[in-house]
Amino acid sequence: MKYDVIIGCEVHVQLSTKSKAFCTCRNVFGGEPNSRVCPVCLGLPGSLPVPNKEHIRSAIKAGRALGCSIAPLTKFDRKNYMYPDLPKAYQISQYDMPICNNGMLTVFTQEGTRDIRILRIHMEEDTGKNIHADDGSHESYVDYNRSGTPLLEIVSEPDMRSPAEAAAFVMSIHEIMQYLEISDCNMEEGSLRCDANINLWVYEEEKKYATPIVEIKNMNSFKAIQAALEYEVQRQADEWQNHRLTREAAGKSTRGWNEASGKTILQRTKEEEADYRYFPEPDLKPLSISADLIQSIEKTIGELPKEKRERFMHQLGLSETDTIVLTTEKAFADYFEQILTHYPNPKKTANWLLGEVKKYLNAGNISISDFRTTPAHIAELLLLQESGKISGKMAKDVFIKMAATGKAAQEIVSAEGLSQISDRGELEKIVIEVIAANPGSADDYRNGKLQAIKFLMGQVMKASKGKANPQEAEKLLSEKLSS
Amino acid sequence: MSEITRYSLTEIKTLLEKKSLTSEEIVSAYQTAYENDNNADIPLNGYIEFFKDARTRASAEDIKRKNNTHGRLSGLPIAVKDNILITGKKATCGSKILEGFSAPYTATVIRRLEKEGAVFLGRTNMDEFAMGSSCEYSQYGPTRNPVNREYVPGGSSGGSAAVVGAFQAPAALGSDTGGSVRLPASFCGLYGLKPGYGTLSRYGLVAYGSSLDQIGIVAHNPADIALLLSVCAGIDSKDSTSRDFSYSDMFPLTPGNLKGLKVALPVQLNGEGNSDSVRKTAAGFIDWLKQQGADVSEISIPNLSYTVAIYYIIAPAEASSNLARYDGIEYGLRNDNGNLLDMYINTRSEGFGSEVKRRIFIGNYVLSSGYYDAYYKKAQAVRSLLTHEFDNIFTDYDIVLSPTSPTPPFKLGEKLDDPVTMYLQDICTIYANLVGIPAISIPAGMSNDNLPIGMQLAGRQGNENLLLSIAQSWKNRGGAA
Amino acid sequence: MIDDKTFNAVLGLCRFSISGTEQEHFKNQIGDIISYVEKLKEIDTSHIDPDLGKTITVNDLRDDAPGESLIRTKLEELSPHFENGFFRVPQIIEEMEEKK
Repeated sequence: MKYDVIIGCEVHVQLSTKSKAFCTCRNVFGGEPNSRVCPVCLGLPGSLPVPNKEHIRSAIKAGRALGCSIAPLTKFDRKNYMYPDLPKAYQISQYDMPICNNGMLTVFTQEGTRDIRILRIHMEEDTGKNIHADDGSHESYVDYNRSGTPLLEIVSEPDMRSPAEAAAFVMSIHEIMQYLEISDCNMEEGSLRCDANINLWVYEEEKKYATPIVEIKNMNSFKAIQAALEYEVQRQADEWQNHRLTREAAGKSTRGWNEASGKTILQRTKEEEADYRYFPEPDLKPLSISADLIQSIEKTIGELPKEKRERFMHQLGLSETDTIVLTTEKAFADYFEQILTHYPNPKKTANWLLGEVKKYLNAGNISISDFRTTPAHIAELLLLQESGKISGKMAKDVFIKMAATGKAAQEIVSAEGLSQISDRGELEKIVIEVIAANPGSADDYRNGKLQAIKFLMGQVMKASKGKANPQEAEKLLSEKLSS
Repeated sequence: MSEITRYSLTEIKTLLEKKSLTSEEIVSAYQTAYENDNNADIPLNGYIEFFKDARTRASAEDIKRKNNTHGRLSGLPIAVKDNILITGKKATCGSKILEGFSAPYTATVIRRLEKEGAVFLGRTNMDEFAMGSSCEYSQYGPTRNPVNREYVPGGSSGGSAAVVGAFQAPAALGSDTGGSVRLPASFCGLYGLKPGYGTLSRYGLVAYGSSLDQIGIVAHNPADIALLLSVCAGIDSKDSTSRDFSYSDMFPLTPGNLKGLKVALPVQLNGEGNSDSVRKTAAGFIDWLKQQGADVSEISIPNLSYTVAIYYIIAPAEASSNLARYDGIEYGLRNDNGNLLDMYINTRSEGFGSEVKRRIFIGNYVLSSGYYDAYYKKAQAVRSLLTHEFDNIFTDYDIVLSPTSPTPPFKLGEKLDDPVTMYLQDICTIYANLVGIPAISIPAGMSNDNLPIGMQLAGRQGNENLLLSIAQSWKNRGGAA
Repeated sequence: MIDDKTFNAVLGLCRFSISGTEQEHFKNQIGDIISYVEKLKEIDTSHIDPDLGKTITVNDLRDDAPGESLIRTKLEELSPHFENGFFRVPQIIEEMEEKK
């Protein structure tokens, strides 16, 4: 069976503004239930929405970063449906005049690169949360803390041709949003959520058939996106072979991804499609957006992941693998570059960050923004090592202490008397003593068993309590043994 | 009836300033008037609740006045329509669905009045959610016309007009979505202003038709309205549709000079459709205008024939969305036998009255897929046409004149079960809401049955002052009131 | 006149019911209102784009500064069904959850 996979994505991004979209309640995750609610986000009678400047600015920023044109005139609309987590029984959204249109995002997968067109980005507000009692009491509970959180909905054209491309698309959006610093992009907390539309184009005897479009919901990680879509491709292919239903015949349905069973489950069919009765939000005036505003916001868009990667590889000479790991999280890339301002050695810095630092952060599940050690401290540590004041091994020990205490490298080195013995005179004394104490090994070396120097080095390190500069010590040893 | 209750708001202000009266005395007099009437054979039923704490509040204002720490409206009593929120007070909108709801916050207009020391007397009766023209569609029974209790006071702010007309309050706040302040003012022989859209903040006014709603004021004279407007008006950071415009110099009100005033008389609202007594009153009013030197010309605005049709698409559409939040989850009535869907349906079936259900239905119909373009979009297009027409009219004219209602007040029950006939009651008033301009109803005469007849003046956005000053000239001349 | 299928679909959107005995009367009244508003069809609006009205700019909007939220006691006063910090509702049935 020969077919193409056709996928389009809708990504919801929660914005990390200080206040909510249409009221002044604080916009943060979690907290005591219903502790960040007011007449507006509870939808109390008589309350009115007042848009947040930052919501609009973030939308423009995201739009420009994704190559969209910004509408000179945009408006809000009401999307009407009744549900407990939607206190006004309508969501303030945008229908036919979204703020951003016609963008483009290039994604990279093992299969190559592909340009994914962005149809639109619109602004809307998030709902509250329903919590279902699991005690068999037939009751649910509603928390409106999330109600009114500003969202962007990014809608792609159906341009993805594989589940891997879809996952790469969402990952790329995720990355760009955090580079723009407009969202926490925490998928576990739901600050970035994705729905996908998927169907197949089946080719049979020079004819092309489109299978029914299915919207997949509830994919809460990149892994879930790929797994759900891979499952769905297979399901639709089987379905085609069994029933040969086309898109024209069956219309669109909605299925939910069930992580536990690894299957998508039918949620609703076309006949049950909700009628949202969109109409212009009469409580808000249409918004005109000036070219000046767009320009001033464009200036705040820093380097995007793609540009940063190119620079890291071509200007800093880093490998592709190192570059990708360094740049996946903007805060991490920033940390890296801050070290470079004090210690301009990209390769060594990258090795350190991707080795020791990453290991430490991963082990403690610590995010780079919560990391106690400053980039300047890391730079100092690397300089100490490079100047030979401490050994590589010492540097690793010092780092663990730095990370645990937040202290500077020099402070720990001094306090613990850790500095390396590089002084020639001092080292010479130790080397001579070691040769004298181990005449057998010294003779072995002189007789051509060069391996013997390893044992002698060990003795030097032992005698110096590990402080001898290994390179210097070995050089001296061979000098003394050869003379 | 106590003489004290006969004073207008501005007269009370003067008496309080002269210390000839205390606010407590005044509020007591209104309370007595209300209580006596409530025990009568046919009570007015203008208040849903007369506030028990009104007298205490009045005393507190008396003390402030003594200490010279009082505001501009210190001790002035005002009645408030039951759809404008006051923290801690109930607000029902005349509906069962808001049973038990107490406001957790205060409307901006109320907050501004409160800050200047106004004392709120009580919550006035209304057509449920302000949907009605007779004040009969209330969960709390109909309000009666103070002039003749067999008649309706007009709606939906019937309670507000009735308590002012019956001297149970000197002035009242109402709300006007299609004529709901002006029609009751006209039926009760009072002055009633609907300011331009955005002049008064809607924050804390329970929404009916959001693009049309506006808080209005009913009083015995235009100066009273100017006084309240000067305190309440102006931009509000909580209402994105409020306008940045200052009315602070509006009070004291000076009577207008009508010489050269250009008055348009649209034939669509001044013709055969109006009853004889209304036409006679209109003719008298037009004569007076001409005597004052105004220049009155008949004009034709064909789209005025369509305003009721536009309105009964747009207002229900907005209402169907605004009233979808009444589901029993967070506040108000809840009938939760069964699952969630049952709760929605039981609560809303029980909580909403028949007129509200009709409008929610119409609203959902005109917005639903397949009908949106034919109804909602069409209505918005005609509304745009009308708005442009009025922009043009106001380049040539200062005022648009018509009766407020094509007929004098009608009897209770007369139109109750005939929605379209009831809707046509607002044929003269609706355009001001659709276009968003200010309009005032002026008591201009009496019918053969001795019932009040009002004339309506509409002006440019921002021209409330002109409307009030013309009204004041009429009042000074000794008009109908 | 509105057909039964449309009537029932719209009634479903309203989330209230009209009892059997009242339904005919209600339907007639709705029919009267709809026929009345249909007089708008007389007007040619093909050349008109509905006016969006006056526009505002981003500067007219609210600064992103957090303010006060409602305190717990206000929520308790709002509803007797406010329990342990949550608004309690009857179980959200599968069918509705899915239609969301």
